[in-house]
Amino acid sequence: MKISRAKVYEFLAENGFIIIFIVWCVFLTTVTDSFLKVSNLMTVLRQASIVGIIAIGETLIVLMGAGMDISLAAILGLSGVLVATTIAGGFPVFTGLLAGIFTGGIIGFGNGILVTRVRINGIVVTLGMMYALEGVAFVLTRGQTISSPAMQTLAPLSRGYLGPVPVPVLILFLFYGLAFYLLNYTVFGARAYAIGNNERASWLSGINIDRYRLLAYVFAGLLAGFGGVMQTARMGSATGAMGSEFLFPILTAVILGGVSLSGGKGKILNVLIAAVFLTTINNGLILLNVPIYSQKIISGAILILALSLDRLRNVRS
Amino acid sequence: MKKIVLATIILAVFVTACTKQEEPSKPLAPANVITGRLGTPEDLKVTPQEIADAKEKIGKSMVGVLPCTMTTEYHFALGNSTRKALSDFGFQVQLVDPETKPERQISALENFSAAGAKAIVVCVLDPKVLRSAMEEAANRGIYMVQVAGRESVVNGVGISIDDADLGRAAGEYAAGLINTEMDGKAEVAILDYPDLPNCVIRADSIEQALKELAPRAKIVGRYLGAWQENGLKSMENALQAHPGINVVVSINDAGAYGAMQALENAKKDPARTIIVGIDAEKKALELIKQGGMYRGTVYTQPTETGWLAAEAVVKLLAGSPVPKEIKVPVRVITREELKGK
Repeated sequence: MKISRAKVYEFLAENGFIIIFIVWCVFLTTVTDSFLKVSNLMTVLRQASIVGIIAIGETLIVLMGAGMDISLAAILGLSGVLVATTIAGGFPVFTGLLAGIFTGGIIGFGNGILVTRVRINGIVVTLGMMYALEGVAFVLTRGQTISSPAMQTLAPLSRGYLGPVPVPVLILFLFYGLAFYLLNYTVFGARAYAIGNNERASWLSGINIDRYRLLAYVFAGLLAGFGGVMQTARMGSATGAMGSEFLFPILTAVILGGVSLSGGKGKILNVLIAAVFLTTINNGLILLNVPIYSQKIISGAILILALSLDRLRNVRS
Repeated sequence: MKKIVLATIILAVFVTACTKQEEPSKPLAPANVITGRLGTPEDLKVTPQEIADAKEKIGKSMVGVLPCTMTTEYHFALGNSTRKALSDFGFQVQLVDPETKPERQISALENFSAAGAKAIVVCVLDPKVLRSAMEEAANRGIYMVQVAGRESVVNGVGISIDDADLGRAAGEYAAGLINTEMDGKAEVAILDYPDLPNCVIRADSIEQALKELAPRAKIVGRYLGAWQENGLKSMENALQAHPGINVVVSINDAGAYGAMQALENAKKDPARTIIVGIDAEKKALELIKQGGMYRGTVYTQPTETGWLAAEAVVKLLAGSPVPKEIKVPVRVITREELKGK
């Protein structure tokens, strides 16, 4: 059976970074003893969980052509600080949890209003919001690490297991299951893709574009707030800078996952795979004992390779 | 035509009237520094006369404070104590947080300079990046007081703990514990932070001390630390490759907290696991006192260093002789010391 060049090209174009991901995993399985161990795979998934969950919200925004939310990592940081401050202040853990999640939702609502009603560019709004939120987190913590023994009650959210599976991994899959259903089997999902694909046609067909985009920002804020809760649970404490490490991985997961920055195209499950892929890069380099100074070079090279293959999809289309 | 001429004259008069004439500020004399010997904190004790002279020299100008960041306990304490001490001396102070970004430090130095600062206290993130901006400020007659790394200081005083001393102290203490409690054998992970040269110096010194003093211990690798999340992730991954890791020496406390979580999650016996950090953060002291695997932290004296920096500003402004380099001593805070308190 002869496989035509066009078919190979099409296959590469369709699966892009996933092929590199698989090659990377096969390489790690062959070269290291520990990559394919269940404990390591669970470690990878647990590490990918927070970025993965927040990337769902970012995907919704980008899919609808509503720009890009740069402030999600900062929302995570502020929500985490609020959770910690509330619990350390003697309030019930549940109150802290709600404070974290709903703060995210409220900030997302604010971002959404500024984008859809005041008509300010999404990137500009959220960039400004990011700085403001980082400032608020700093004012609240005053440079200190906030922790208290009461925060141990949050620990199961990040360190707990349900059978052999870590709780954050279960939450990750649950959220992706819901997002997959929402985007592929509901009117909301169909309209989200439609808005991103052709804003004018969607408007003419009676879709309230602004309301959908506002909802996307609120969802994204809520998910980032929840991410803040999970990160606080993971660290057992919170600092003003705790969100700063998340901005790059969240955006990379969405871009690497093939979500079109102009909206309308992208598969949510590819975003999940991208989030896991990003985590395996760091995990793999440590398992390979790559010196710390060379890790960035190799991480960058793998990412460029993955993005280059994925680029074929755009060229093809 | 007449209207245009009239409008131009009115505009010129208006602009001239509104333009505030800058008072020509007197250039300060070059810093009166003593070279050839390493100073101690004792050299920075200020007298009431020196404070009065300094206040007279500074007039209505201000002192700029440029920490490395304000989002870690150590740097917050350093920046805050500098600001407070300078305010207590009666100076106007302006503090800018560069959030560990050297390029922001350059902008801040330029802004302080433009705002007429007479002295700047700076925690240098990267001496090579900041050198020209510091020299430019110094050329304008601004006194520089450098905290964290002192060799590159120009027209002023460098006050710091040597990063090599910090790393050495942590490495020595960990090596001692390995020798006495683990018969010299251990699998050691070092938490590093290659983005900042000062942190790399600490990690190098930790490694050197361990190799010299606990030669039978195996250093399995240097991993990304500095932040709790980095320490946690790195150690989770490192434990997959080296499940036997039982000692972690970190370039700071924040990274060590994450490593401790990973070791606890891996069900490591606290009695047979050792973590040593640097910075003596409040949380680290609590963990050491609790008696778990966190065994020691190197005290970096941030509050004291901040006060010394403020005193150096006074000395420089007063024109008193002051050693160009002041070394702040380090010590390890151990469980034994905290339990004795």
